[in-house]
Amino acid sequence: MEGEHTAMAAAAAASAAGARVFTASAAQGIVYMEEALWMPPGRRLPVVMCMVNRAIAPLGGLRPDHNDSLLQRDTGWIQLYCENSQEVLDTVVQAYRIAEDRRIYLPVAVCYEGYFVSATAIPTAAPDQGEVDDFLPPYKHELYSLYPEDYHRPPFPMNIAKARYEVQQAMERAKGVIEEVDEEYAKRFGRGYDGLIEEYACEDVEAVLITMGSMTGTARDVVDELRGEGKPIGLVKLRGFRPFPTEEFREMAMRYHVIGVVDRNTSFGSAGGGVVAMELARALYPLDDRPLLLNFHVGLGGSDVTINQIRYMAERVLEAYERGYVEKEVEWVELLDLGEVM
Amino acid sequence: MGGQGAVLGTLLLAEAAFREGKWAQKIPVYGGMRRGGAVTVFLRIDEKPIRRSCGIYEPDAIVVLDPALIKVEATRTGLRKGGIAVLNYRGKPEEVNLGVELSKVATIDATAISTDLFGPRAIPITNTVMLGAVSRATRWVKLESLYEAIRRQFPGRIGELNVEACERGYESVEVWEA
Repeated sequence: MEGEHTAMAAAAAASAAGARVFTASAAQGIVYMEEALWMPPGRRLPVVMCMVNRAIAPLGGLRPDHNDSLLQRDTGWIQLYCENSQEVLDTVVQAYRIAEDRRIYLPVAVCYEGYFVSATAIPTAAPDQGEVDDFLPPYKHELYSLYPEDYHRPPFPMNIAKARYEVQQAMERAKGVIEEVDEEYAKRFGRGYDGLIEEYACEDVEAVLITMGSMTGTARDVVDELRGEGKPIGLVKLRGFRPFPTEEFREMAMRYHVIGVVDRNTSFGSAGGGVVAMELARALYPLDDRPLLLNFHVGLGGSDVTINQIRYMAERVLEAYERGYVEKEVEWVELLDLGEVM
Repeated sequence: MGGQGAVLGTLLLAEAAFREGKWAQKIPVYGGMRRGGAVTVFLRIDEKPIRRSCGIYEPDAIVVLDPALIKVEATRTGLRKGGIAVLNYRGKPEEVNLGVELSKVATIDATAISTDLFGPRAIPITNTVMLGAVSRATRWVKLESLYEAIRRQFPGRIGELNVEACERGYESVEVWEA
């Protein structure tokens, strides 16, 4: 392939022709691919792709933040964010089951950060090929065998709205399917990830931090320390960004008084802060009794998300809980001097 | 420095620890990978699964593959009292002063051993020699586990040469203890 744009066009075409396909890209590659990325959801093709997060140039480099994949949030791809290599491996297998489910037929992006996941080596268990084959029956696209003539025909404007609404409905159904597939995977392979969202050390807490991707592992260690110190703060790992787990967050909002969202991305000139925080604010808006919301930018352009930074953010969240109000809605944590020198 | 095998050497060390039933995590930190560019690699070894993915700011030990980097301030940043330094350095360990009271300093002329085994190169590959030195100085991994990791990574003659490099690193390193 001469470029990522063509690579995605070929992946979509191969999927339509009945092949199970996989591709991967990062940063500029994903951005360059974007026009073709709209093809698989629109054509309901279950392509699976790894988006290895890397900051987009020129305000980036080789190291990761989440802007490259988050930029694709409106395309209709399911997006699952992974914490470490083990979860990446397990999620790729799950991704095919989700994508190829006849209730879904949408592409799935398995997102994980460069360096902190992609170049980091940890002991990783590889499932048995036979067991994976049992879990993933051969790919057969039932929509295509039902309506092959529709593939080349440009839809009428009325049908476009209908087709888009169908993608939206498939996204809504994906919430249940992602959980179902994860549960079955856990039963068969002994590793599960709580579907779209995981609450960690959240028993009897008043506040939570929300993280995505590799920083979650670091945050687990910090939250354990804080709980050990008697601080009422837990951790919520957002695994599924698309579809966004609105219902789960609304249910959590009844239990937690303060939520701190950690965004490893920027949205310049946004309504306020990062992409995850804005998404969450919309999810919680209709509630009468909303928790306080704090937002932090951290790990931009691939800088490290450190123990000190996570501790700092947790302390701001706890401070808001004690005071009952938010002093700073959005904070750029990396610009603070927390005494770390690499 | 890139090209000296810091990333692969650390992976071998991680694998050796894993072979002994421990959990290990290797995180490389570099820009574009290129021969001669500075490369830092972090390694954690633990009895239980390692969850944190952040870099290491206060290492228990530093291993320096290139003698030119010993004098660089960034090399010793975070090295704490009671820590361990394993250096590719021609002098005696007693001569080394990194500005902090260490529990152990180990020195070895890894460049000379590498040149002897692999022939003269513009950028000598010192990683497996240094692994032997690390095993002796830290006692964190057994020499045999390193051999197994090296042989798996490089089957055949190259592997055996590197096993020899590792063994010579283990035998030749001079360790000063506080």
